[in-house]
Amino acid sequence: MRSSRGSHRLVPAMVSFAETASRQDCWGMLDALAPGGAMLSTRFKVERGERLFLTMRLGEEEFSRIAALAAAVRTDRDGYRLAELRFTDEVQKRRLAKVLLDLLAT
Amino acid sequence: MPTVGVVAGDADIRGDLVLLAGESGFLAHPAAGISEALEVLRERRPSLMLVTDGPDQDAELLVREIAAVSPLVPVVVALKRRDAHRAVTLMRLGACEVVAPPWTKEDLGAALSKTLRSRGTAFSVVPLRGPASSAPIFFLAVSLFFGLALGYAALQRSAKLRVEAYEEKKTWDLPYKHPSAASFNGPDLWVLDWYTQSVYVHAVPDMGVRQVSHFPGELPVSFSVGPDAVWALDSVGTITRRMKDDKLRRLSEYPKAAPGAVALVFDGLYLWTADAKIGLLRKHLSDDKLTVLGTWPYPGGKPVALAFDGTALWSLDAKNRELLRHNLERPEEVTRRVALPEYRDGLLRPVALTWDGGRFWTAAESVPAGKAPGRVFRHSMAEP
Repeated sequence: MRSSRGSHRLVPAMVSFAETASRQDCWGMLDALAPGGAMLSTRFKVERGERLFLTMRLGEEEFSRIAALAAAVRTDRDGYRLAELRFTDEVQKRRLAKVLLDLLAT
Repeated sequence: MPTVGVVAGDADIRGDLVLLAGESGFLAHPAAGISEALEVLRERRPSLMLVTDGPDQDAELLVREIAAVSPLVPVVVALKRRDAHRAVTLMRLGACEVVAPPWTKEDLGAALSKTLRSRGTAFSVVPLRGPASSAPIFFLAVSLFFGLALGYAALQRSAKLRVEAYEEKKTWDLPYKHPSAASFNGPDLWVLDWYTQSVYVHAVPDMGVRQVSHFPGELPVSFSVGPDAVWALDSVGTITRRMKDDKLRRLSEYPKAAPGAVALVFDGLYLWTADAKIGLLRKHLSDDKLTVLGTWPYPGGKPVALAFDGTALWSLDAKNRELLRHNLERPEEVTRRVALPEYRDGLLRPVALTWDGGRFWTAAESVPAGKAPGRVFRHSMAEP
């Protein structure tokens, strides 16, 4: 299901980390999404170079544990981390591209 | 001030959230349950709603109800227990943000203000442009730094080359032919030309003439720039004290105070004059008559100029082409002689002497007089 407020589309995502990181799952909102990556806005700590996994739903499609790398992280004026994520799994990227094309076409 | 509806079943929690929202700059309207929340929505028209989620209140229901009544009002959910799955579920239902416990002013304020500015998710099938990288700014800053450093180094080098060129140059031709006296006024070299009856002010780095002052109706032969006045000597031995302005206005006159004198210098306390014809040095008190305190025979050949280097009296002996340093107590006693090889060939006749604080300068006219432009020399003298 796609969350929305007015004309805004909101894509929330659950953020998981590698088991070795010993970190709790957290969550955030995607400010932007493309087949190759996403811009994650979250109140939780994300560090540059960190590997993480996104779980989200786009339209009717469920995406589970998309492998990503935090290529850059900065903090906005509200104190939220804005993490530039690069997706690293080519199969997931192709699937994501297809779904995004469908969404943009509708 | 933005308004927020705060929905919490527990009165204490509601009070806490109202307080935190207020501290974060929001005007909070409390509501105990869904009916009060809907009433707040209708009557207060808040900018956003803040609801709690826990055993005593199901935020899912509230999010749905609020979305049904006011679909444009964003909802923020405050979880009583941290649960990422629950948070994402609530956001998928329509909550714009979910705040994890413990609720702090910083977290809550950030969530509320972030939600108000939320613009949703932008979809794209082309690669995203990441957050502004600091690399270009860093590169620009580094480039600017090196640019400025190189510019500064170039300026320094240019200045150094100018100084070196100046240091290497020890002689300058003057734009007039009959210099008769010279004196430094700060960094400027003042040279008196008896023929044009003028004082030329030269800027030392390039010896360019910055100013010309005239002595109309007088025939000056020597002068000395003091700290607050200019002392001038004319051909009949009259000494005048003048202002250090561009017109050299006369302040006082001492008729025939130094008859026969061809040179004078003010050492800061006394005025010294030299008579070339009879070979005599005089020391004057700077009173209203320029009283002569003493006279001494000149120990050289022909004095044509005097200078004071801060500690000793010096004279320029045109006959022997040398500088003489005099004992201040007994000026007839010479404590040092410095030959001037610049004048050895006899083509120039030294006529003026001055001290710039570190070196002596002499001015000369050609032999015969007026044949060639006057010339200035800067002398480097090794200590004996």
